[in-house]
Formats: sequence, structure tokens, C-alpha cells
Amino acid sequence: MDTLLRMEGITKVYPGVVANHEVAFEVAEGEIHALLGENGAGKTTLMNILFGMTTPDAGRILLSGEPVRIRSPRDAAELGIGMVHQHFMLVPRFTSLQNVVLGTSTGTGPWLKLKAVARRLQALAEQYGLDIDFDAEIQDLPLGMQQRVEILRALDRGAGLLIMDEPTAVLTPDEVQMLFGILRRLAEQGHATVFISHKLDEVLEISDRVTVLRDGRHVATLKTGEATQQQLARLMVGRPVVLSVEKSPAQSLDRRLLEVSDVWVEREHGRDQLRGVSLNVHAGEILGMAGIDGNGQRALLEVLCGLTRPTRGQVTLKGIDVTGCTPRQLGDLNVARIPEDRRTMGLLMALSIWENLALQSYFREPHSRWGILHLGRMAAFARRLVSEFDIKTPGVEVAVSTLSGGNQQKLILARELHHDPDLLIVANATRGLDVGATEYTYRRLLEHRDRGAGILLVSSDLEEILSLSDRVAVIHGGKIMGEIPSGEVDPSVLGMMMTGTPLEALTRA
Amino acid sequence: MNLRLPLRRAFAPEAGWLPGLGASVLAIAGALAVSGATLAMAGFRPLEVFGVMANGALGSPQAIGVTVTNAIPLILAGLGVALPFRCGLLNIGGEGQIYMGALGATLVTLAFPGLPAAVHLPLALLGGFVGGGLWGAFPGWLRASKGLNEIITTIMLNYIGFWIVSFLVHGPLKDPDSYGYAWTVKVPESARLPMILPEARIHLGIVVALILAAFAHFLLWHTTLGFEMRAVGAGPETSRFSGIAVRRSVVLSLLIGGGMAGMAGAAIILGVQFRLSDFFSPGYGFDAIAVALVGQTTPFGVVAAGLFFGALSNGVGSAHRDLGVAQGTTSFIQGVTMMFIVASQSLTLIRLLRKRRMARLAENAH
Repeated sequence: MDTLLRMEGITKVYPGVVANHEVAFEVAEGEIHALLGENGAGKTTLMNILFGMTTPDAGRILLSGEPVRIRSPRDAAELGIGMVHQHFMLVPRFTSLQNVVLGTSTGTGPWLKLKAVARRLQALAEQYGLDIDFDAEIQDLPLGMQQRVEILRALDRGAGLLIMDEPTAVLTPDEVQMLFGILRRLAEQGHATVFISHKLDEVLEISDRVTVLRDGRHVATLKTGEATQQQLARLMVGRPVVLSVEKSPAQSLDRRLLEVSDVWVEREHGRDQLRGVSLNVHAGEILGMAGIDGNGQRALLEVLCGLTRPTRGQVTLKGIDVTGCTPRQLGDLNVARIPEDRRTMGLLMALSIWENLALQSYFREPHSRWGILHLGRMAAFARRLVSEFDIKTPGVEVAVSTLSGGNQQKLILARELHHDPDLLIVANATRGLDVGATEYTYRRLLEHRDRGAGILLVSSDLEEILSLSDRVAVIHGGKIMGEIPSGEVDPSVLGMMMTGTPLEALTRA
Repeated sequence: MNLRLPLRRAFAPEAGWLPGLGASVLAIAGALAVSGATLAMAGFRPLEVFGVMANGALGSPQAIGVTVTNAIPLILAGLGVALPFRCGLLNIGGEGQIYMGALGATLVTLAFPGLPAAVHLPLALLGGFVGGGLWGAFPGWLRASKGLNEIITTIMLNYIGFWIVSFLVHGPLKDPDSYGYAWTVKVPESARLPMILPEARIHLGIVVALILAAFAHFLLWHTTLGFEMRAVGAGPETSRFSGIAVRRSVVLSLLIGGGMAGMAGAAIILGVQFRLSDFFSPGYGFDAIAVALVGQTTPFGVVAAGLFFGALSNGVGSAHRDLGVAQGTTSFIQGVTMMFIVASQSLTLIRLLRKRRMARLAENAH
């Protein structure tokens, strides 16, 4: 195979930080090349240079052997380089078709002639196996289809090299498989793909070759077929990681902490409902709630956080009926929660560290009295948590938005765990975190389990569920499909349950 | 909400207010430079115009008095924009709230003649707060319970408020001896804001404005209610999950904000004009938006911006009388200042993002 892209000696220095140091990177025609590294390893800088979002201080880029200068994304597009960003760049109120057309010329003067364009795009979509509803508005489409719209848009602009930035971060397992199918088809037709990720199993499954970056330097480029998961992990972090968390067997205290019985949530739009969910969490154990996103997890979390009142059913906590309790009342019963989306559900990004740390306690003594805040005590409290949880920051006054993702996560953990909660509700808490921060989160969760806290772990990441849970329940269509002790989990059974076959039906057969 | 995020970044910096202050000062300097160039193109000598303006705004006790008198409603109505802004809400309804506040104050003064000043004046001011507060709380309630966009509803309520007052001063509340003028009878002495610096003709309203600014500052940064408002402004979903009564914060911030704008109306009636008409406010409620934003939506910033714009319109007035400079120069400078702030803020934003990425890189490099 011929080399399509070669980047040589790429160096990019920001004041005080070397983001890329003489990085070499190369992609062959029709190849899926994974770019692997922890957050901050320099993947994004390298790809931003390739896509013309920033210019390198040294080094050169060759496309099909010709040296090129890429000063803007427009230059990149003209050279046949397309990028699908992690956060999609689509107009929510436009249809798929309008989004693909947006920003291009249809060659018909001021008139759009959308019908003709639609026929051409449909043919293109078929050629690459992209299942897209062209007439639906983006906001109504699942994330997987939005991503396909992005891919089609890049292809329509003549992309021979496609950069995919963390493309699986927002997808369900099914959608990931579909995406992989598309990428393989692209490769068959000669398109090259750069697949940015820090998920090892996905890299091993999809890529032909893999390049590992660490601390802004090129560490290794390997044929994927000759690499193992442990080897890649070691290259990434520079130290051996134990990927499966070491976990002692649960010392379940056989004390029922949380009991959810026959809870129903009915909603007008018919999505995200609960249809008779029953489960219980004991002190000192982790109950994993597996399931594909959008099967009622959100409704369950809202019920357990006191934000949605179930239409039917009962929730008891430590023997007390808490159905319809407010979030504050649940907090008083020593319930903590770690939300799925740090930025919009867990943190106030524009506010300072101390304000975020005080979010669950500002209304209580000693942080306030008669409605008046005691700023000195709040700052001292924040400084204590910052050092206890090792949050890296120049001070407690800085805005949370200036922290890295890992430190933001630590901040949430500090706020929710410092008072040793009895019940912990954790939802997709490690989404988008790198290996180090994920490991840190897992360790903390297990610590609290061993201390005797009950943990409900809702996650669409099966690996996470399997490595942490003591029991695994599967939710589908707002119903619990069954419950299995984690030692006896058969992944294929779990897969059947996640797609709607109850455990009973499976054991009967 | 998409539009609001950049607005918040430009005008409600949370951590680190110093760069924001610098941006405002630089923006004002830039705006003066641009307007100087424009004046030169129109055939004036900019330095002469600025000299006349400075003298007209600050050159004598009387000049300072007019500047401060101008500033009082700007500061109060500016607080009425700043407070809801911190809660993530754009209050464009200042003008309506000013009219309803003036109405509230007037009704109190007319309803209880003969009260001693120590009771009558505070009661009249309270009437202003209640009138404006209701006119702010209503769109707040619509937003909280029905999800109606407060930008639209506050704009529309401006007209309703104005026409209610207009109807009343042309009809039921009209002074029978007014010789055709549509205004009410004069407010009794006991309810007027007394002069505190008679030679400069500065009335007690400035003290009221400063006290309310201090109150707003205390509320926002030293109380649980203010903490909740700022939390809702910074992240409504996070706030909801952590148990903050988001709706209460929304209604409350617009109630208090509207009340402060209402006090602006009350201060004009009780301190300057002494009777309610339908032409007493030349659009203070809209200027207040500029005041609040240039003041970076911090209460003390609003005071500074209010004084600046008060001086500006006073100075432009002088330049108009002496040199024939257009009255519109005031709005021109206001507008250009805001454009400069938005522009400078997008630069600081880029720098901030860059710094953030570097911080992350630096951390991971270790």
C-alpha cells in the first residue's frame, strides 16, 4: 500500500508545554490507523495540525509525497482531509440533507435544487452503507445517525482521509458495531481513516495499525495484529496498568439499604419510561445496572434522585418510604450521586472550585446560617477537599472550567464522597475519562463499598459493569430483564438480555 | 440557551472580575476614540467636543448634580438587568417595570396623604418596588411554570405597562387642573426624596441606589438565595439535580430585579418630576441593559457604569447646546462600547481556552 500521509518531526510548543515533540505519523491508503494515547498525550494537537486548526512550530506534512501547507480547515478539505469531531458540528433544527448541503455550493447559483442533491447523496450513502434518514431533523436523530451524517458530509466534500475524534464515546454497543462496518467499507474503497481513541479493545478490533503517543512524543507504531491489550496499555501510560480492577469479594452486610418496588414512570412522549422496576441494593455491595442507553436509566435515576415522582410504586431507603422525596431530603438521608455528564449535570462550569464543592452543603451549617453564607468556612472546606482528593489547581477561586477532565471528576468525587455516604448512585461516571482517572474513580468506589456503602452503578459500559459489580441487573424497555451474580455472567446471555430477552426465558430454553 | 452562553461569558465573568473590568475600561476608551474620529469626520474638533463634554458633565457642582441625577435611574434599572442576568435571564422589561414602579409609588403617595415623611417616603419607595417587582415576577412565573421565554414576555410587558400608565394619567388619575397635560396631581412633600446636596441639586435617590447596589452585591455573593441564583445561571440542570429550587430562583431574581427597576421609576417621580405622566422616562429601561452589561453585571460595576453613562448623556447635552453635536452621540458611544466589550471578550475567551488546554497538557506531561 502506498503512503497517503506522512507527518515528520512535528513539534508544537505552547508556552511552558511541549504538546508535540518531533512526532512522526504516517497513514497508508485504505488503512484504518488508530491514534492512541491518554488525554493530553498530544493526539488532539497532532490532528488539529493536520486539519489546519493550528500550525506546527517545526516539521512538515506530505500528502501522497507532496509537501503541503495546511493553514485552515478549508485548506484541509481541499486536500481531501475530513474530520468528524467528537462533538458533532450539526445544526439541530436542520434536516440531515440540509446539514450535508450546508456550506457547500450545489452548483446551481442561488437556488438549492435539494431534490437533485438528495438523489446524489442517497447514492453516495448507499455506496458506503450509511443508513441516514435525510428528511428528519438532526435533533430527532440518535447520535449514531448524526455521526453518519457527519461522515457523509466529509465524504461529500471529497475526503480521502477521514479523522475520527473519539467516535465511539457517545455510541451504544450496536452503533459502535455499525460504525466499524462503515469504516471497513470505507477502507475497502480506498479511504484512509485516523481513529483517535483511548479504548484499547476498540482499537484492537478495528485498526490495521496503531500509533501510540505519550507526553507529546511518538512512542511506537505497531501492526495491530501483533499487539496485545496489555502491551498497548503499557505503551500508553508508561507503566503497567491493571485493567481489570483488583477487587475483594463483597462483604455484603445483608442489610437492605435501597428497595425499589414496582416503580412505574409514564411519560407523554413515550420514551424513557419505567414499567414496573423492582430492585434492591444492600449495604456493602455494588449493583450494576447494565443496559443500552435510553431504556429507562434516566427515569430511574431521576426517581432515585428525587426529581421525578413515580406514577406508581414505592422507593424505600433504610426502611423509610422516600417515594416523592426531594433531592435535599434524600441528601439528608446520606445519599450521594455521581452524574453521567460532569459538565451539565454535575458541575457549574463558570463558577469557582469552592462554590462547586459547596453545592451540597451551602444551605447547612457551618457553611451558612440564616441564609447568609460563611465564605471563610466554605473556602477552608474547599481547600481541605482539594488537598485530600489531590485536585490539581492553583487555588480554590479558579473557575472549574479551567480544570482538566480528570480533576473535574475528582472534584465531584470529593463533593459526593467526603462525608461517607450510605448510598451512592453512580451513572456512567467514567465516560470520557482517561485510563488514569477511570482507575482512580474505580478505586474510590470500591473503597466506599468496602466501608459498607451500597452502590447502584448505572452504566452502558459493560466492561465497567463487569469489573466493579457484585450483582448485575439488566434494564431494557423500562423493565428489569433479570439479575445475575457477577461471577456467573455469560456475556452472550447479557447481550440477549440487553436486547430484550428476560433471563427467565433464557434459563427455560 | 445557545445565544446566552457567549453573552454570559462576555458580561457575567464569574471567576476573576479584574480582566472584565479592564475590558470595560478599554472598551470605553476605544469607543471614545471611535466617536472622536466620527466627530472629526462630521467637522467637529474632537478634543474640543470632549472638553465641553467633560466640563458639562463634571465641571461644576450643578453639572455633577445633573450627572448624578441621570445616573440614579440608570443604576437602579441597571441592577434590575444585572441581577436576573446572573440567574441566566435577560430582563428587557426595565422600561415597563419603571413605569409600573412609578405608578406604584404614585398610588401610595396619593392614597395616604398626610403621613409623616419618615413613613410616607419609605412606603412610597416600597410601592415602587412592588409595582416593578410584580411586573418582573409575572414573566418570571411564566418562564418558570410555562417555559415562556422571558426575553419576549418582558419586551411585550413594556408596552402593557406603558399603556396602563398612559390610560390612567389620561383618565382616572388625571389632575383636574392640568390644563390639558396628561399627568397626575403633584406628590405631597412628605413623600418626596429630599435634597441631600442642595447646591448641586442631588437628592436622596443616589443613596437609595447605592444601598440597593450594596444589597444586590450582598444578596448575590453572601446569601444562599444569591448562591442559588448564580448556580441556576451557571448550570440549570446541575442546579436541579443538586436540589436547588430552580423555579423559585427564576421568579425571585426577576421579582427583585423588576423591583429595583421599579425603584428607578419611583426615584424619578419622587425625586425629580413629582408627578406621574406617560413621558417621564426617555428609555432608561433600555439604557439600563447597556449599563448592566458594561458594568459586567456586578452591582458595583453597574454603579460605575451608571455614573459614566449619566455623565456621558449630560456631557453630550452640553456639547449639543454649545457646539451643535447630535444628541444621538450618547447612544452611539454606548453602542460602540458594547461592541468593543464583546470583541475584547471573544479575544479573552480564545486566550482562556488556550490556557485551559495548556494546563491540561502540562498536567498530563507529569
